[in-house]
Amino acid sequence: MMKGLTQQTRARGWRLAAVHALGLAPLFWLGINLAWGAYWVNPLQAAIQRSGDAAILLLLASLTCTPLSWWRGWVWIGRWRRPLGLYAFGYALLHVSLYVGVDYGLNWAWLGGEFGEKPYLWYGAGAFLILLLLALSSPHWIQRWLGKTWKHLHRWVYLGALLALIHLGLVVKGDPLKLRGDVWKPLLVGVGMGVVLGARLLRVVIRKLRQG
Amino acid sequence: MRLEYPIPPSSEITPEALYLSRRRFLQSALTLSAGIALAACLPPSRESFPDRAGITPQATGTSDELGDPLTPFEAVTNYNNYYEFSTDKQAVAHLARDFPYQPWSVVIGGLVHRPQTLGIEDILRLFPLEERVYRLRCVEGWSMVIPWLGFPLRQLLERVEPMGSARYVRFVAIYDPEHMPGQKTGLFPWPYTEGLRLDEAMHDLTILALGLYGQMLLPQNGAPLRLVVPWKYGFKSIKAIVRIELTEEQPTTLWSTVAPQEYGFYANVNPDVPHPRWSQATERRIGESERRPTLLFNGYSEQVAGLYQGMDLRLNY
Repeated sequence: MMKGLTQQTRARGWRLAAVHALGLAPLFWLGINLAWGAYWVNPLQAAIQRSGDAAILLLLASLTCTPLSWWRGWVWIGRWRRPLGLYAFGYALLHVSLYVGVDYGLNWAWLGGEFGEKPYLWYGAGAFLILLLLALSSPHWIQRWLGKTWKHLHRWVYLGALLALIHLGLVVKGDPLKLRGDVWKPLLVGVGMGVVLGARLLRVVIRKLRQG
Repeated sequence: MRLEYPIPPSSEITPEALYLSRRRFLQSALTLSAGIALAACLPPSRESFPDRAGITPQATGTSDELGDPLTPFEAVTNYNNYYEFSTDKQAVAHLARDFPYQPWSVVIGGLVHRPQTLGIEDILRLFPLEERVYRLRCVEGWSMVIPWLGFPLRQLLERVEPMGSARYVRFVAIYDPEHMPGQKTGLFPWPYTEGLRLDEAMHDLTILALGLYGQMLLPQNGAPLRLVVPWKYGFKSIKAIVRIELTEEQPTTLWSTVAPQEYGFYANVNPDVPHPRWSQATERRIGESERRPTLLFNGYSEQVAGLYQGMDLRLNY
């Protein structure tokens, strides 16, 4: 009995370490590359792009937890959704801060011009605002306070993921829909999102069929 | 003669540094020719390549005509958009280091009276090289100032005598997937192709470059021969050219095939024609921390605006 409990605690400790390792890995990678000089010619562009990559990948990872728990029966992985989502938001915050604060140096006239002519920025901004809302409402006490509304609110993550994917698809050099150009990133993320969101859809459909 | 724009007075004598860099350039060109002669009977080996490591970069100019300093040699040779090797600009130099570009010849044909095939050594013999300090504005919103060594494309075109029906020039880069890992993907219609209107190609600012910073081009910069059109976005300046053709029809280009709504045939640097992704109103000069406004025709309006009189540049982007 005692032994079983210790093992369980130990497993929980390992899992906790794993989720934070996953969340911090992109930052670590970015830091090493910056320090090593891999991005020395245009470090700002690299930092903006890599933080964006990390945000969308961790968001995808967060969305993968639920289908994984169904498929493998890993109940514990449900606890990963919150930290992975928060890490995704953290990288998105870094991404946006670097773009607005450093790249454009808070030059609102220039930024206004960019927003006026580039739809990809609107998709990105939309995804960021959704993540911001979800991050702000993520503490347990707010979850309890919001009750059922919290669940509805957090379904917005699907829209956020979709907006982020469109943002990425528009920002690469080429045309992802025509499989032309440097499009492997949005394709990869798109397939990943298709799988994890499709799994949810499939489950809903199967349940409906069984009920009907 | 030092050739920045506007053209300097003819009284200006050749500075010693350029004289020396030219001599060094010719020496490495001679080594190259010797290498080609050897390569004709031997399988290519590393020994027949000029010693690139032993050459120190040197340019005569220190700034462009607007007073902005040259982008450091290290940045020019380590930050390259060259999708034939990699989409990662800082990975290109390493991946391209063993790219075999000797021997090399360029086929010039199409609507010309005197089609011909020229080896690099012929080109070096026929056309005197001069230094041109040009701004390079990438469509991605970054820019550099580069001291090229080259000669006006016009000189080559005059030599092959274009026919009256020729209206465009089409450029084709090498297709060599064995040495260019990026060409193994099916995502791009390789080889890289580009095009210019004949009057753009004949303009004195348009050069074929064989060197930069007083030495032969390195593979990552488009060795052994590339186009440089300073008032257009960088992707127009095709690298590693193997064929130049004069045509009657406007040629298709790689980027206008991949994403026609983003990359037009003209691709003139123009802050007033927006791109769906990158800012064309402002740019980041490599090495500078703040953005700067982008200039119409990359600052070469005075020389090239006349080429586009009466044209709607928003439609002909």
